[in-house]
Amino acid sequence: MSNNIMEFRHVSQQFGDNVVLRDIDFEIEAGKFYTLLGPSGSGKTTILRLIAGFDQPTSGEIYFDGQQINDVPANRRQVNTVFQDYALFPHMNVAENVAFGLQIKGVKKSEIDQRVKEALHLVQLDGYGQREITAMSGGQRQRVAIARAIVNRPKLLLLDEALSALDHKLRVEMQTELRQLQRRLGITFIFVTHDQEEALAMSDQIMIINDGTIQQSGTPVDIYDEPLNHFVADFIGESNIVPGVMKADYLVTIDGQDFECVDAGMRPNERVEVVIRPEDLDITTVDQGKLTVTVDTQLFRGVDYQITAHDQRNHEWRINSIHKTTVGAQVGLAFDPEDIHVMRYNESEEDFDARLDSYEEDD
Amino acid sequence: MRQKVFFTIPYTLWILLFVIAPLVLIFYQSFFNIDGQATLGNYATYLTSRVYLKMTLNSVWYAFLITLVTLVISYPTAYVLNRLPNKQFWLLLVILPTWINLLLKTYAFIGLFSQTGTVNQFLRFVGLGSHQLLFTDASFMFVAAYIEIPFMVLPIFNSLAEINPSLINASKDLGASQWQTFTKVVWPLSLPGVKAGIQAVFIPSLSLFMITRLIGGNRVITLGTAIEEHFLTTQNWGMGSTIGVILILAMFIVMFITGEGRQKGGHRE
Repeated sequence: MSNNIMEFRHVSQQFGDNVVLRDIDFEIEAGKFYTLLGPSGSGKTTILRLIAGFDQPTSGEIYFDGQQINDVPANRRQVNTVFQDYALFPHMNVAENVAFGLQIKGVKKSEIDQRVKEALHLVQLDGYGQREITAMSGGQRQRVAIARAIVNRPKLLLLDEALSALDHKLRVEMQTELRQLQRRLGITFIFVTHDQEEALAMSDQIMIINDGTIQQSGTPVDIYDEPLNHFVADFIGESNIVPGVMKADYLVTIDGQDFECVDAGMRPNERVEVVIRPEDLDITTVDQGKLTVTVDTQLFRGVDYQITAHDQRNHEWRINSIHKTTVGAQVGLAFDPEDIHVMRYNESEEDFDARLDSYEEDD
Repeated sequence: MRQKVFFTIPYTLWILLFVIAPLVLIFYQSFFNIDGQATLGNYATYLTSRVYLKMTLNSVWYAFLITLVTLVISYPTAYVLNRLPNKQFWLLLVILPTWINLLLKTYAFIGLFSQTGTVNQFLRFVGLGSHQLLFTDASFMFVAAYIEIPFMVLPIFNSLAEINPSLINASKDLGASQWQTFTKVVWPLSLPGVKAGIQAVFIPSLSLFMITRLIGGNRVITLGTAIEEHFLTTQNWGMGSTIGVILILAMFIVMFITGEGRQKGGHRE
């Protein structure tokens, strides 16, 4: 409890009639890398603005280090932000930008110089201090923005879609760097993104936001392997989602065909949704497969082939396979009981966690 | 290619007839005395005469005062306008008076400030008695500032509007108070607008003559007044042109002073 640096209690935000956040509750543990993941308009940036202090919540309380900070203005919070457009001051050079926060606090000139140098070193921009912002590339500006924030040694660093403006290669590089930087500094990071790959790659904890509520929070592996609902399963990674019926514990029926699975704790014959990730499906011969499908399309993506196929009931299946197949061919799909994940309709996150705990302990 | 040449004709004609030709004529005229003889005497007179020196200082001083008063009023105005909803509408209200002829507005002030004018009527009504308002330095400054304010507000408003709002957030995020954000971020980024405003106000103020006469009652004699007198009353076109050349030089100096550092302006990326 004392380790929580940030806490939201029943926070709601409304702009006029437009409800942006509904009753948000979460705790942020110090020293971890958190990601708020959601589509645009989901409310994730609003959460960030509330943490930074640019907006005040309509209702609910925000705690920082045990103190209620609803009315503390942005300039008094020990939180720094890396903005989506970097928001570097165009009338200052790189070093002046980085020194800004320290100058405001009245830090001694010699110490400012030292800390600016260190910060620029951390983001691998040694010797760039005297450059004008306009002379820096996108990736370099990104680093200046990070340096400008971490030089203040905040307890919490917010990153608003901080990598979205970079090209793919640079983005992947920066993901690794950000993650390393976070570990080295031990600062709590809250990263906002709509890019699920980015979230999975960098975070200790992911919070999936949609429609102003937190859909699910957990580690990347938990969320990927055990999505709570249709939205999460669809949003994180690729997935095949088909309706099914839970016959009994560890037994699910899809279109009248029974499959062994590892899920339990549901009512008998409850209607459910079944998720199987495309990379968990293996293409095999018809008699060895658990399902028989006809291949519709095949795309070569470098690492693997993306295949779509349909079964006798016209359910579409996406398969990611490193082996080639033939369009039009009838093939079998093989998968293990662990590859099946069963989701109940309208299950809350608490119920979901409780149910998982109940039968996982039994094992 | 041909079309391009065709489209430059109006601009070229304009520049030739209304910019280059007058400049050349003024420069040429300034080397002739009142009897039409070529001479450098006009410049000698200007540089040695205390009257002209005083007039020049007077012009610069009043132009400076007008610019200062205008700036002090316009900057907060532009700043507040920028934060209002429907800011374009409120800006329009500020700009609206520029659509009305300068002379008309000046005459309107004669009506307001005269012995029997509206202001004095009001002063008498509240028991303060009537005062000589017209033909004072104060009324001259007031009317001049009134006329120039839109030209100062507009460039400042534009430069403030161009400032990326996330820069303000960034400044607060880094711990700056409202005032620190203003002095360290907003003001420096709006400087291009302030400089443009100063140019737009200071330079025309150097050569004001209509308002000096109608509102200032010719008590304030500026270079603008001198030029008018030389061309229309004493018919000494040479001397009038010489002062004109001096004014043009003064404008270039002002533009040079306020023009530097432009490239570092606060445009968003």
